[in-house]
Amino acid sequence: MWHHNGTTVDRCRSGNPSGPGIASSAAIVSSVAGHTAVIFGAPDPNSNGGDGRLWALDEATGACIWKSAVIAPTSGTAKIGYSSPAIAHGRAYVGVSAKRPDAPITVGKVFAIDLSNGALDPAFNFSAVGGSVPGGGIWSSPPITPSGNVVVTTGNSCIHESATCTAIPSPDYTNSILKLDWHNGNVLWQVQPVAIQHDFDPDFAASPIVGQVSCGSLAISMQKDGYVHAVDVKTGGPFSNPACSYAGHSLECPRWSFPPVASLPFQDDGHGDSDFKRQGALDSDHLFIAAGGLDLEPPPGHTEQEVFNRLHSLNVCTSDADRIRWILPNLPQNAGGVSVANGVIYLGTWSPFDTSASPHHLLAIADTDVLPPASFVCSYPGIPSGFMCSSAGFKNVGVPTIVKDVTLTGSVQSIPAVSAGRVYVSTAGGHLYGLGQ
Amino acid sequence: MVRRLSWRACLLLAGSVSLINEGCGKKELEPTPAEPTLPATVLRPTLQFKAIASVGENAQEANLNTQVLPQLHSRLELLTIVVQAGKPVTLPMQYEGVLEVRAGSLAAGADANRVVRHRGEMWQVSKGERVTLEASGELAVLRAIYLVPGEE
Repeated sequence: MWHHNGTTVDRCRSGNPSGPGIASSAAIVSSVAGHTAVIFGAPDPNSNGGDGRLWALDEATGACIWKSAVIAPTSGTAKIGYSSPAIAHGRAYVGVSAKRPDAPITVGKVFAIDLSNGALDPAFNFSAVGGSVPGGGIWSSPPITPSGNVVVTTGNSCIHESATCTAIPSPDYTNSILKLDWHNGNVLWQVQPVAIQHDFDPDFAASPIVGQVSCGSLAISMQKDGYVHAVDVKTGGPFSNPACSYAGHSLECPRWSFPPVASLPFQDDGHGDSDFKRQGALDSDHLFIAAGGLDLEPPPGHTEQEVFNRLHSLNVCTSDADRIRWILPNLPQNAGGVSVANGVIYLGTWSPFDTSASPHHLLAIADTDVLPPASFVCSYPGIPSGFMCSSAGFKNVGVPTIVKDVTLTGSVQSIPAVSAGRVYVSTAGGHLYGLGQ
Repeated sequence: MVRRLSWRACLLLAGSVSLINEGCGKKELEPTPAEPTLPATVLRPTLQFKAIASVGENAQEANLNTQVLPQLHSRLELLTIVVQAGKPVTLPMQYEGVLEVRAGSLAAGADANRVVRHRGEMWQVSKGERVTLEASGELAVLRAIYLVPGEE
């Protein structure tokens, strides 16, 4: 066991927990200059008080293999935030976001770092905005598509965040899911579900998922407004579809959105910041995600909190009519990020900004392919009393069985990790748990 | 002759099997299906936000629609109000109406009666009331529906 911010660490130490600290997860990579390496982004306390870099440490000893060129200078407005590096093509791809959430907004960028020596790949360039206005911070971790390209989600623009920001950037890659050419960062397609004029902070906090499913390869993510969007990865590009685009943009359409939408981009005032911030998990054609649902707009008598406190399982390769597989409603707190293994879904519950020792839960949920549903619920859970689910155009779907409910100390802001028959999960209350499966 | 035919048949069979295998094995990694069919977007005019005069730059409003109600001798004013993070803003209500949180969340009301309101919540406001609003996150969006009397 080694640690990285104490006196035992050698001359390229990092991990100063002050200020932004280390928010992103590390990647473990074999064959980095002859080592198995732990790669992560962190401030460098020996460089202008915390210039942000990627670091490669030996997995066994913690010895420094290299520290990358500075990619988030102290003098700037960006940091390596929640973006964990994606490893492909002998490079680590990592994004930067604002030092403090949108105060001020920064220019979102993705960098490619050569794994052999930590050098910045000058051929790869992606900025989420052009021109002088900032926007499009990378708050999530990029996955790699089956043929090696990079999918990334971006944060909001500065429109409405500041009275002085009125210019629409060109190009405008804010609030989007994008496929980037791994060689150079060129945009191969862009889905921007909310038109920038209606950007009231609905950006992407959840990392995208890329999966090979029975209907092709899909990139799936969810905005903070609770809408899930699934996009065909496709071979090559650039692609765009005028049906989902608007002036000054070349946007692609998603394959589907959930809840279903009549047309895109959205042009209304209902898309803003909420608690839909945790990524889902994909197991063959089944997606598990804490998304908004058909009653995303809570009907009278129901609250937004009810919508946060549920987990959906979705079919990713069916029509909208058959999208919902099951719903787990009425969780005690917000449904968080999930992992899935052997038909069991692991879900932590969380509360925003809660770093106390308040009790939260880790649930092990049996998919309905493994155990029959415990009960049934209308696919529109907030259906007003007096209406029949089916006669209102909805259908009854299963409620999966919770096979284990463990009370933990602190809010589960992280995503449970499953390895070798154990589940590992950390809480914002300062605990790391390892639980037998 | 029979032997030659069976040799050819075997070769043909082996070739077919190998072609089938090749076809099945070469599943495209990232197939490019036809574009999803969605109706073309009808673009709406961009809302023209302006600072609310009495509160400065921390709150802006834009008119969504004005609907005359002849039988009531009044009209409905529909506005979108954006409250940015920072100091609380106090909006004097010129008319009776309803406010609804459309995005984000905010604390509303005077100190003693401050209530955090979330997306979807609606509440009534009275003419002359002073409503204090403070965005909980980076910004919050309200829809205001005012009933303005006196319209002929």
